[in-house]
Amino acid sequence: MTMTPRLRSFALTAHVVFSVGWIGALAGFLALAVAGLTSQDAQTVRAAYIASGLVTWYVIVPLAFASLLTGIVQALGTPWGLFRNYWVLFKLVIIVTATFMLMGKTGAISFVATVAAETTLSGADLLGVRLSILAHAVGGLVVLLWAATLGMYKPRGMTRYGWRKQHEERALSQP
Amino acid sequence: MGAESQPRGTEETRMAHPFPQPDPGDDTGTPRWVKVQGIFVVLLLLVAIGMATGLVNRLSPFGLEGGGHGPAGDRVGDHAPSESGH
Repeated sequence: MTMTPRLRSFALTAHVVFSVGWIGALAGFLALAVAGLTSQDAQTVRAAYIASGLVTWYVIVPLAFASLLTGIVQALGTPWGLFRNYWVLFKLVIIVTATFMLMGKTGAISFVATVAAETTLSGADLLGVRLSILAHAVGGLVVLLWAATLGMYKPRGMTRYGWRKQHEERALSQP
Repeated sequence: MGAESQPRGTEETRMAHPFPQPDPGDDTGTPRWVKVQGIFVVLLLLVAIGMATGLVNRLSPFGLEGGGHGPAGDRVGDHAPSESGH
């Protein structure tokens, strides 16, 4: 299954836009998490956590799934394949894991956003959850930058499946 | 992008062709970068599994349960969310 060049360019553009958007949105989320944790101003803390809840549900989560979906389409529609090259396989595992961890954290993010909207959070309130959210944002950003680097450099290395498919295709093309 | 103008370096960092090309003489086993980054991928998976099972929160000093204890945490910690949902 190979896409036409025009469709391939469109899919690649969509994948890059969604992926870079995800990184940017997470960087913004990180700024909100730091502000919520360190600010002495109650209004800033409240605004930061309410905003982080909105950013998570309306920006980060949609971008994460869009990036994953377009990445799979892009891999399956080009000769790279999804399981043929280690860099594609690693990116798939990294992004699936990051999305899974993100979804596991949305409950805590929504909870802190709800509490921030209803009450005034002081420095020690929900400190464990707030620190956990910050740590996950940092970890998520590192993981996404790792995936982006793999996608940019495309280091060589074929999986056993990739070699087998390549030999099969070569055998078919040389009767 | 600028990556095309990067100097070609070692086997680990060299950019591949835009699409994979048959290279029968290059079958030298698993590249080193795969082994190194594979370790990090496995670690990432272990963290994710630990998070899903709640193990990370029990071990972490700032997990949900860790932060929920104490006077400050108790104030709003009665209805703390589960790690996996809302």
